[in-house]
Amino acid sequence: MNHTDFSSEELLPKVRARLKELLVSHLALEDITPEEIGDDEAIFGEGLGLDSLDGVEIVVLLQRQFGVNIKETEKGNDLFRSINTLAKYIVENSPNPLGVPAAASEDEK
Amino acid sequence: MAAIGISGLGAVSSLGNTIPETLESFRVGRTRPGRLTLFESPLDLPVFEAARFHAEHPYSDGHRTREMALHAAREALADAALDRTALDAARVGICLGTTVASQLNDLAFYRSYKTTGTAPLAPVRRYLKGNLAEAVAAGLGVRAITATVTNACSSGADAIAIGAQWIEAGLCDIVLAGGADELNRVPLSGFHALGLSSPLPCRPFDRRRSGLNLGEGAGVLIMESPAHAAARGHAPRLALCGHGTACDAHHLTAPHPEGRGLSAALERALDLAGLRPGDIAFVNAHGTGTQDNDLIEGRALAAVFGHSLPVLSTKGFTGHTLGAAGGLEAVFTGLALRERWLPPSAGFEEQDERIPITPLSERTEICGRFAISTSLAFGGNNTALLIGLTEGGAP
Amino acid sequence: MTAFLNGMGIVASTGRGTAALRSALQQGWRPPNTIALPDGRDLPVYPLPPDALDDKSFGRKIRRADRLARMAVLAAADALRDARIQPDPRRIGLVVASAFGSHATTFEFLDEILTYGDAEVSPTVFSHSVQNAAAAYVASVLDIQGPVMTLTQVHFAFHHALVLARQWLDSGQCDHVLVGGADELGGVMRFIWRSLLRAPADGRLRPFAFAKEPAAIPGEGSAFFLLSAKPGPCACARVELIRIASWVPPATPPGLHILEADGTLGDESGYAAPAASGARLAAYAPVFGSMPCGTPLQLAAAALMLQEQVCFATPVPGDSGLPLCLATAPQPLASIHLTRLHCNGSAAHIQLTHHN
Repeated sequence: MNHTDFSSEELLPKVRARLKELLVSHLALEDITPEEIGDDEAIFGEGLGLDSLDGVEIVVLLQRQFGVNIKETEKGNDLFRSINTLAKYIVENSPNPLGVPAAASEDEK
Repeated sequence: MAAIGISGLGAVSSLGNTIPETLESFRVGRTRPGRLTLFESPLDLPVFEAARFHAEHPYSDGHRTREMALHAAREALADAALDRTALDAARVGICLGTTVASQLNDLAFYRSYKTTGTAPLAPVRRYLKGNLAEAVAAGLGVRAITATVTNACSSGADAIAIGAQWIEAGLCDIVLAGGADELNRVPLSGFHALGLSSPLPCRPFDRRRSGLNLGEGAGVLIMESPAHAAARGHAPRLALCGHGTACDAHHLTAPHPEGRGLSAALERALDLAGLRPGDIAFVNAHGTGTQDNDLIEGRALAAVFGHSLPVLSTKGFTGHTLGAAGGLEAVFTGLALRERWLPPSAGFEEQDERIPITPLSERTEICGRFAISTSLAFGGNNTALLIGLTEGGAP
Repeated sequence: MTAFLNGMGIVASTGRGTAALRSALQQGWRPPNTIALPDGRDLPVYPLPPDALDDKSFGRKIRRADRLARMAVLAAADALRDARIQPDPRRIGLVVASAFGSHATTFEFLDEILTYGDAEVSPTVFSHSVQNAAAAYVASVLDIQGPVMTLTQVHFAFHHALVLARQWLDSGQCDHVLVGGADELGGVMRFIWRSLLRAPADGRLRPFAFAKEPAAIPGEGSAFFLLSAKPGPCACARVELIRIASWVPPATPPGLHILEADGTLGDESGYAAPAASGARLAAYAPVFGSMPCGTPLQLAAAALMLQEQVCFATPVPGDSGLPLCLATAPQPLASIHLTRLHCNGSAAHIQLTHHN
């Protein structure tokens, strides 16, 4: 199904789930499953504990998977605070908020 | 440590092809970030090309780093009045730092391999013969111990420290040491991806700084054991008096928040030289223009030297020359001590209140005989070189 | 000054650890694996066993590390553990030597440029493609706050690393130095080996043929050593000599002279001179494969022999008439000398002596 078949409320949980899968696989988070990541868990520092290198990698991930370009000025915002804030940004700004299909992104690796 | 004479200096960068050209550029206060012309890239980032070098020495595929290193090496040897006969009679070492020249990063080669499963081997043969220190030895026609240091942004400084240790250990009488790197698509793209590149001319330590600009060049010192210099009646005006290197052991790309590695390196360099912070006339800082580096380095320098020590970053003149930086900045530090003045810290205009040092904003006369050049690298390497002006030729 | 070899770690085609190394040396020659290349050709290789890098004990610290960095971290950590010493982080240094460094990740980065364009490449891949990334990982995982250096060059990288480590110890800058080498065999590198060098038809490297155009079988792996100013509880040898110069026979004939002929030198006829030095000879490249920076692996074999006072049979002796170690047996060994040649005629030497 296409993302236009869903409302924003229906899209958000799907985007969150996809985001969690992508973070675990692309950032090599071997010690955690996507299901174990809380929606409001902090991405940096206490919480998921990602670092500055993960931060810039997430920017590239968002470009490739969701077609969103985070502007320099937006990077300091609450955008990266949690899965929820990132997912909301994607729903509001992405031309394909469900992301590149899983089969296609596996081929990239 | 017994000071090791620095008998010669050589430099190629955006400032010019020679030491006199470099000095003239510092005098005029010229800064030259410009558009990339050396190769194709979709990234529109200001860079510091060694334009004068390429005008006089046309680009030869895959060898720019070596050509710049050789050029600077020849100038340094001439400055030291060391000819082939003298080199053949001595135990010589060549220790050079680089990033680009140590990598097989030929895009056409890889594209061919990826799309067809095969590729022409000329780039590989060039790479296998292209070890920088060995290539410079071969280009000079000199038998030498050779080593290539690949410590990212501190490689040039590290190579100088290693070369000094070869002399201290009695392995060599003369060492040619420093670093060289050409502008290249790989770091251009990579630093941009890390969010460390600025779309504007860099502003080291400035409140409005937004990242680094890449540059290219080669900076080389000739170091000589006191015995060898005395035997040929040569009295170097400069000397390497101390060096220190320490690792943050913290993160691949981010410096330690308290600059602990840099503090340890500075302490070691001072200790080896038998000097105290108050003996240092100025610091040529790493000062790349990134948020993290300048903040952490500024704080560490202030903690060791106080807030009023003259500090500058010359990366506003040359860009960040990666493997060449430590070599070029050691040359600039020696030059400044010899000429007795410092240029302003190009690109700095507005104080960042969080950084407790204020770089020079105008040409400044130097008081004192000793100075430090710092280099901070990916992986948390921190190196400090302590260079001194000799008194009447005797270190 | 003497430096003490207080611990060692190895991850190579022999597997991980000194027990695996001992078994491999006892076994002698074993056939290489055969890999199919994208262009349809085959290449014999000595790769790491598939599970050699499996280790969850570092947790997240090495989650992004590439294969080369992983090899180095595991071997270096094993060396430190083997030494049973807790060094002051500020008094321990690290030197990492490599012939080709992070080439595999460099090609991965070039792939990123081709696939996504210069403006959308992965910053993680870039930062891991820098030559000192492996050293950065070892330093941060093992908390090494002294000097850290990476030397990348085809010839004698590890020898220069040893010289530097010794200088740091001699100058009093460090009490200990972790010094090692690492090289991996990535996909593009296999193509390069296949194109530049020929493999032996029967899968055996022949170090004693002293051939003008020797055959080669590429290997990969890492070995690290804890070098210290003083002997620790597990000291296995003393490093008496490191020299890079023209070939000169050692002053006293060693108990065993290891020739590092492995097919990576264009012309190995120069090994005939050190072979004629009068000492008993061995060559272990047929166990590890051909590696320009293979000295750390050969040194691990030497250190093991000194520690256990055993001589392992040289795996592919040929019929040269030379005084070779032909049978694995307990043997009083006072010293072992290793010699590797450069294509310019110079030689690099290491001499280890037994430490009781």
